Amino acid sequence: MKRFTHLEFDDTSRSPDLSGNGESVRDAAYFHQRAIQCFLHSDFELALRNYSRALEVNSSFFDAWAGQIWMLIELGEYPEAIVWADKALESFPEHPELLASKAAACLRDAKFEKAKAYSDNSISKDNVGPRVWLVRAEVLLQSKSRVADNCISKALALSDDKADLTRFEAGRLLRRYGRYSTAVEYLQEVVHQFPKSALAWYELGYCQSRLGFTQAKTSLEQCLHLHPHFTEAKERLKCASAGFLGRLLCRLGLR
Amino acid sequence: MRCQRCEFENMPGLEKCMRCGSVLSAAAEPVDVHPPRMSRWKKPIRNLFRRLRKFMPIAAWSGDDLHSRAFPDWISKASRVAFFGAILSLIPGLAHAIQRRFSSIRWWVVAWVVLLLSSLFLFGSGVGMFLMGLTLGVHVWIAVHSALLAEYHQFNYRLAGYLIIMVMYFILYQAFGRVIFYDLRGGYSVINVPTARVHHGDYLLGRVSQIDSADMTRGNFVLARLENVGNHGFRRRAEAAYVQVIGLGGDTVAIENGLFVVNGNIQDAKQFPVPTWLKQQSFSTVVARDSYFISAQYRGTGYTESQAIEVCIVSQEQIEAKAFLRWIPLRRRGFIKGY
Repeated sequence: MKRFTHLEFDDTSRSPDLSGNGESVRDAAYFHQRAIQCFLHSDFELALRNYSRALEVNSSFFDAWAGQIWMLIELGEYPEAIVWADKALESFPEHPELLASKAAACLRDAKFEKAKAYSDNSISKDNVGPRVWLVRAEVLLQSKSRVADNCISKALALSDDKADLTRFEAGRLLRRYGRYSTAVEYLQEVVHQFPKSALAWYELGYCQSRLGFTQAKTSLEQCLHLHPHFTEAKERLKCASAGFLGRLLCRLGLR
Repeated sequence: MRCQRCEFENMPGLEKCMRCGSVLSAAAEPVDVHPPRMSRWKKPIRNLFRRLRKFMPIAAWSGDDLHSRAFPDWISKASRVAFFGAILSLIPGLAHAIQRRFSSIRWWVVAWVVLLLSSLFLFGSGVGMFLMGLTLGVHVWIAVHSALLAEYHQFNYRLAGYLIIMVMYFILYQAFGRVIFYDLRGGYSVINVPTARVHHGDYLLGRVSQIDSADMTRGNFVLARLENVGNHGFRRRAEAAYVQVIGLGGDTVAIENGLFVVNGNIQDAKQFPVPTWLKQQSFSTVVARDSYFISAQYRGTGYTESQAIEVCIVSQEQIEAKAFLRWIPLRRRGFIKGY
């Protein structure tokens, strides 16, 4: 049955409607919205396909191009993300967000010098969005610079309608670089905003477990309630529920 | 033609927008909106390399000096880089692969593989030893090329680095050889037995696991350490050499008229040839338990009876392996049958 697993149906279990209900016109914005929902549900693969469907409807829809690149990054396919960013840059030359996405892909692929160059380039453009500042923050966090916090603040200040998503991204970014206490502050706000987002609960639970908070178990259980097949959450829950020795081994990265 | 991005009205025939540079043909031609995906087989390999990069030393070694604070100040970046380059290059090309410049060294890696296989095929001969040396040299070059060349620009530093890595790798090659071929021992024969097609100076391979007294029979070729049997010296410089077992523990071995006599039975001169230096001897001795009477060609003549017996009788502990294969020369390569 494996050959049928990638067929797309209107499966509500895989792409839960987090925002509301009602009939929608299946335009690019609709697929974009669904992609965001899939992302919040930690289904990056389906999110990527929704972005592709959005582009099938409207190939000049910028958010879908940017979303595709980000989903490739989330899936760990960094060289492919760089290639796709280059392709998107053909249609949207010198777009700061695409340059920033490329910088993020380079950074996570351990190409720091290139990432820095692309980030420098993106930030020098006009109309810089929050994602550009978040990527800048990531570059600075990588180089252990304290200015990173200012970049995150700047990103949050710039994001008007996407403030919650930006906050979510900021929380995830800080979590990735071990700044758990700050990340928890952001993520707690995010889970209030997106209570049905498995990914948000997981990120919060992860940070809480790393900080040794007992609430971690609740957060991770909530995540697994929303997404029962979330492997990372299951593993983290095992760590959070373990005894002293188990937690110690988790801390040391041996479990 | 109107630009989809900035809505600027361009001249017909233009491929890019005059104002913003966007591709104008995007609307006219179908655009592939499905991104390239990573092959399934690549995923575990990439994950492995990412895990490797997570280690601090490798991250610090990857070009930028971001994590230098993780190391004490007295360790220079160049030393760190050279050290980790040498360690990672134990698998030739690994350091380059992590640095994503494997293509710059790929032919050297191919040469290393070819040289290694050739040297193993010819191991024991002069050419084989020479090829093994070349293999080591190429391996060291790969290690040096991985990082050291970029960090040290002076000739004397480079030479010193090369020599240090050469010594390090030489020791490791020997250690790896012992671990990988733990049951095999190579050595030169110091006996000439035409019926077994074993000639003096042949390179034989033996198994360590078959030196129990139960496995041993008369005529076997065994690798014996002979350094404690007197200062008589071999033709070869090796401390151990392949010799022929004439008598087992408890046997009575005698030499009469230039022939071996074991327990009163005269042995065939072709199957159990008596070495030149022993032909002049005439004695009879009883081989103690856990000992063997061996036959080997020594330099010199004029041994007394007691010296000859001392040379010929070796204990079980001095036996290292039992030969099963003629390795060199190639024209006689094959299993030693019946011995």
